[in-house]
Order: sequence, then structure tokens, then C-alpha cells
Amino acid sequence: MMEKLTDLYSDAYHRFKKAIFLFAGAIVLGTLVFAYLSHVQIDGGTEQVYVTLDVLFYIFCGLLPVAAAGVGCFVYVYCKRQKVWLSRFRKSKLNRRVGVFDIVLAVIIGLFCILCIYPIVYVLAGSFNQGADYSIGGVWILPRVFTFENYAVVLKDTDFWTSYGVTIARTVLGTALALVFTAIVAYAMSRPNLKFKKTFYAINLFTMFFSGGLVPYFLIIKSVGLYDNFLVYIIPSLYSVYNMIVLQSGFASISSDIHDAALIDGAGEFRIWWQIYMPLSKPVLATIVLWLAVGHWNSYFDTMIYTNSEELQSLQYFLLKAVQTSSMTEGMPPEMMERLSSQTLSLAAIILSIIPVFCFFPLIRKNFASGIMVGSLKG
Amino acid sequence: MVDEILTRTESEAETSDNTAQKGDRKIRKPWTGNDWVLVGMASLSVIFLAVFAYAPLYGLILAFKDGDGWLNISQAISVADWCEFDNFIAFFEDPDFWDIILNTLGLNLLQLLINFPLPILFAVFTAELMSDQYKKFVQTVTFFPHFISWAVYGGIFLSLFALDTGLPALLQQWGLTDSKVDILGDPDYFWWIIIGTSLLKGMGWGSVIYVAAIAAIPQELYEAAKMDGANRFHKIAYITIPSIAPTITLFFILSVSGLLNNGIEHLLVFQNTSNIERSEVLDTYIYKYGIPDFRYSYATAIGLLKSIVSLFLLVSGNWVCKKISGKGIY
Repeated sequence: MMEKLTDLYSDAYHRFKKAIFLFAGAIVLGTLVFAYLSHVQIDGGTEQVYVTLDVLFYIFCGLLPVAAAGVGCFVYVYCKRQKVWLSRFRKSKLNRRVGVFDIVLAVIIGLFCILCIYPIVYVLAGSFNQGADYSIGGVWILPRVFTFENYAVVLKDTDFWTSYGVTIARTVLGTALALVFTAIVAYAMSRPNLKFKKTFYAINLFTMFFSGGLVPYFLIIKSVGLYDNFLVYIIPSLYSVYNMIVLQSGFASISSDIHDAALIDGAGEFRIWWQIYMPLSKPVLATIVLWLAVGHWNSYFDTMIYTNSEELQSLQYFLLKAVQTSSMTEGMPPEMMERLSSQTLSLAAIILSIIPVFCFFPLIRKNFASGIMVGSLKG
Repeated sequence: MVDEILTRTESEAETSDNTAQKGDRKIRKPWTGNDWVLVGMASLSVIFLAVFAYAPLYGLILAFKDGDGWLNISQAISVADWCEFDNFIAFFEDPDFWDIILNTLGLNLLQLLINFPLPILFAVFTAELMSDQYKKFVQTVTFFPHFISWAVYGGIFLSLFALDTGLPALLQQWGLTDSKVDILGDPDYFWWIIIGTSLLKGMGWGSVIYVAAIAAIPQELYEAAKMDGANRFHKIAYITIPSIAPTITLFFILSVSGLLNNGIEHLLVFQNTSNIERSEVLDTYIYKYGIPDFRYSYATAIGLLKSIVSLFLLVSGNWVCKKISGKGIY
């Protein structure tokens, strides 16, 4: 029977690996549920959660023996097939033994990773904790009094959604427009036959080295009429010299023959740019999109300086205000104030604001390798 | 990098000059439609920069005028009285002047000392990790904070260090400290908060460029060194570090020229009234006086001073690097 199993599994090895990971996830989840049931009180305001968790717990208990048997079977088969199971961990691809240094290094870097993650774990714990209980202090890795109320309150907050909308709008619009604008200029700058090329470069590079400073810039924004206007998020960030330089080095690496061939076929420069150069330099464009989008999503200083009205505040500014001045509990009825605290509310808002970044992160992660090299900083 | 582009444009310009000299020195080729299109595309940048980079330079004359407190600033530029260097002198005579300079330089030098070399070390040592999967995991985890804004990441630390609910209370509960340590309110801790948080947020991302540089080193070098009996530390010291030295130089010059710039989005999150004596730097000072306090001329003067010193630092940093390593950024 074991051999049959072996054959079966050897083909479906990868699928099984995935299943194992899923199961590990389920175990973690189950343990959390267990932790809640044994140590954690559930906030009275959310009885339903208690019932759900209860059901989850029983399902988990029922599944446990079945899953344990499955895992045991798999591990046994796997060990048998790969007789040198442990050697996978003991030897690297360079066929080098694992030394003390490797272990120390791995542990130190692992500790740093934990430090990087911990703040987010803390926020998660705080955001699921009941506000009044949180104010006593001492919540650090798991919520003590579990509740969804924080999220429920934040999700009903109209200011939160307005600022969320502003940020999404500025990120999408700002990134798209800035990309097109910068790419147009970068294309022209990358062409050897551009007239007055040196002058154009001089004009551009000067601004990288010397700037007027905050106040004169603010004056310009004001006198152009962008002050307290949604466009202030988009127009001033349409163009940046640094992005232009990165993009033009990407365009310049495309063979000039393609350009000449297209010219002979009768395409104009604009059409060559849009139909040939843009599609050919997707990796560079992806990098620039990443930079632009992250910049737009994350900035709050421009909200602080250039806008005044509530409807224009960006998500990040809203969050900062929520954390610094506890603005989220303003105007709440006193019976709600008894259980809620502005701190846990802002923690829940923080988690809600990270979710989109978290969703896009795997996508971004793939672009790292290609993106890094385009800056022509190859060492 | 800038250097590379400039030399390239120069060489391109030379070749086009040469061809021009051969044939049509006298008969100038008329501009074709495509030339006009290209120049038009490039002039978009000129239009943009004229408004958002060069027009502000005109506003710099505010630094020499008495424009503080005017409601209509554009009017202040033209109408306000000249006051020569009064704004600059007022800044030098400000009792906070030395504190601000100390904070600006101290914070930046500390960052240069700690936050500049650590990403390099991080890149070198992550490259030494045995397991590729672990390497990927480490990179993913350490990159993630870069994509969160300072408002959020700093906000997280604000609640983490909050006196009654965060770590200080926890440490007291566990008996590690006798009383609650006011991390956020104590000026002595401020610099370390900034250093620590920018390390946590930026180390992974800061190492990206070095990781790429290390990945570009040919493997044969390492194999040859191995044949010659080099151990791991020899390889790091004699191959990895020298190979990424140009990248390090470039970023060093850039950081030196940024000695007067502090990440204002970062500092404003942690700044509060009780730690102001260690948290007030040039950038926050300019912002505070310039925008909410309407002291336009005063803030412009300080900004101008800052721009000039930064330019000087960039040029001199580049000069020193050219003297030492023979290669600068321009």
C-alpha cells in the first residue's frame, strides 16, 4: 500500500506541498481560536463572534485527527523517498557544510525580520481588542477582550471613506498622468536627434541641484490656483527629473534600428513613442509606476500644506490625525465612549489602510528584480 | 549616473557635430516635422519646470524683503519693503539657532554613521544566507515596511510607545523598568526613535540597490578566490565590497549633500511639544514658521541658506570623492 501511495504522491508532490501549507495555516488559525476560547474574553457587544468561534473550534477539533493522520502518512512517504531528507537542510547548493556562522547569521537576520513584523502584529492585536480594555495597557501580541466593534465603527466613518476615496483617486489618476507625461519627455530626451539636447538637459539637471525651498514653492502653488484644490495632488507631481532620467535610460537601451525602420514606414515620432517604445519598455515603466504609486499612496505632507478643507484630506493624513489627536471619537455618544477608545479605532483604521498595499505587495515583489537594474546603477 | 548620461549626450552631440561639419556647414538642414515633434515633447518638461521649479526661484527675493505676516503673498513679493539681510540675521540671533543646527547635523551624521553602512552590510550578509527560500522570505518581510507611509508606520510606533497602553506600561508590568519610561516625550530618546524606525522601515529597501550590485558580480571571481584558498570573509572583503564600491560612493555623495535634509514626513509624526528641543530641525522649523505662522520672508531666508549649503556640500563631496577614488557623480 505504501508503494502505491509513493507513486501517487510523487506525481502530485507539489500539489501536496500546497495542501500542507494550507493545513499549517489552518492549524495556526485553530490555535488562535483555541487561544481565544481559553484565555480571551469575548466582548459582550459581539455575541455572534463568540458563536462563530465556538463552531470553528469544534470543526477544528473534529478535523484534527484526520489531518494529523494525513500529515503523518505524507511525512513518512516523503522521508522514505528522499532518504537523505535532512541533507536538504544541511547542505547548500554549493555543497558546503552549514557552519556556526551560517546559523548565527540566519538567527540575527531572522530576529531583524521579527522586529520588522512585530509592529504590525501589535496593531492587529490592538485593533481587535476592546477599547476600554486596551486603555488599561498590557496588550502586546494577542487581543485580551476580542471584538470586531472597532472595525464596525471605522467602517461607518464617512470621513474615513472620503479620505480613502481621495487617496485612491489621486493614486490612480496621478500615477497614470505622471507616467504618460514623464514618458513623453523621456522619449524625446532619449533621442540622439533631438535639437538643443544639451540645453534641455541643463534646464532639467539644474533643478536637481538647486531648489527654491518650501515657501516659494508654496507661493507658486497658491498663485497658480492649486491651493485647496484636488489637482494639487496631481499636477505638481506630474514630472520629476529623476524619473525622467531613469525612463530615458530605458528608452535609450532600445535599438535605434527599430526607430529608423518605423520612420521609414511612415510613423511619426509621437506614434513611435506610443506604439513601439512604450510597449517595449514595460519593466522600466513598471518600476516608475511602482515609485509613483507608492509616493502618491503614502504622502501626507502635501495634504497638510496645500489643502484646507476636510473633503480633500488624504487617507494618510486622516490616520495621522486619528493617532495623534484622537479625532475619531469626537462627537460620539457617551454610551459608546465607555467601551471604545480612540486608540483602538485608529489601529483598526491603520489595518484597513494597509490592506490594499498588502494585496498589491506580491505583484510589487515580482518587479523588484527587474526594477532595480533599470536605474543604470549596476555597480 | 548623471555623469554617464552627460557623457553620452556629449558624445552624441559630438558625432552629430562632426557629420554636420563634413557636409552641410553652410546649408543648415531645415527642421523636419519630427524635429518639431521631438522638441515639443521635450519642451513639456521646460514648461513644467518653468512653473514648478524656476518660478519659485523668483520667490526667493522674499528672503530679502519684509514680507512676514502678509496675507496676500504674491503682493508681498512686489510691494513689501526691502530689508536686506535682516531675516538671515534674525535667524542667527534666534536663541534656538544652535539647537536646530545641532539637531539637524547630529541626526544626519548619526544616520550617515548607522543607517548608511547597515543596509550595505545587510545586503552583503543576506547574500551569504544558505537557503534561497529564506533569502526571499527575508527580503519580502524587510521590504514591506517601505511601502507603508510614515503616517501609518510612525503612527504604529506612536501607539506602541504610548505611555499608558504601549510598551512602557508593559515593561513596567513585567518588572523590567521601575517606572514607565516616557519614550515619546523624553527629548533624549528622540534621535534614537528616528534612527531605529528609519532602520526598521528602510533597511530592506535601502539594501536593494546593493543586492542588485552584488548579483551583478561575476561568479567566476568567487570560484577563483576559492581555488586560491580564500575563506568567506576574504571573499567579502576582497571581492564583494570592492565590487560594490562605486555604488557606495554614489550614495555616499548623495547622502552627504542631503546633510541638511531630514525626512520631514518622518519627523513630524514623532515631534511633540515635550521633545521639541531635540526634534526641531531646519526642515520642520522652516515649515512651522513658513506655513502656519505666515512668516514667509523669514522661512524663505532659511530655506535659501539651506539650499546654498546643500549645493556646496554636494559639490565639495563630489570633489573629495573625485580626489580619493577618481570618480564622482558628475
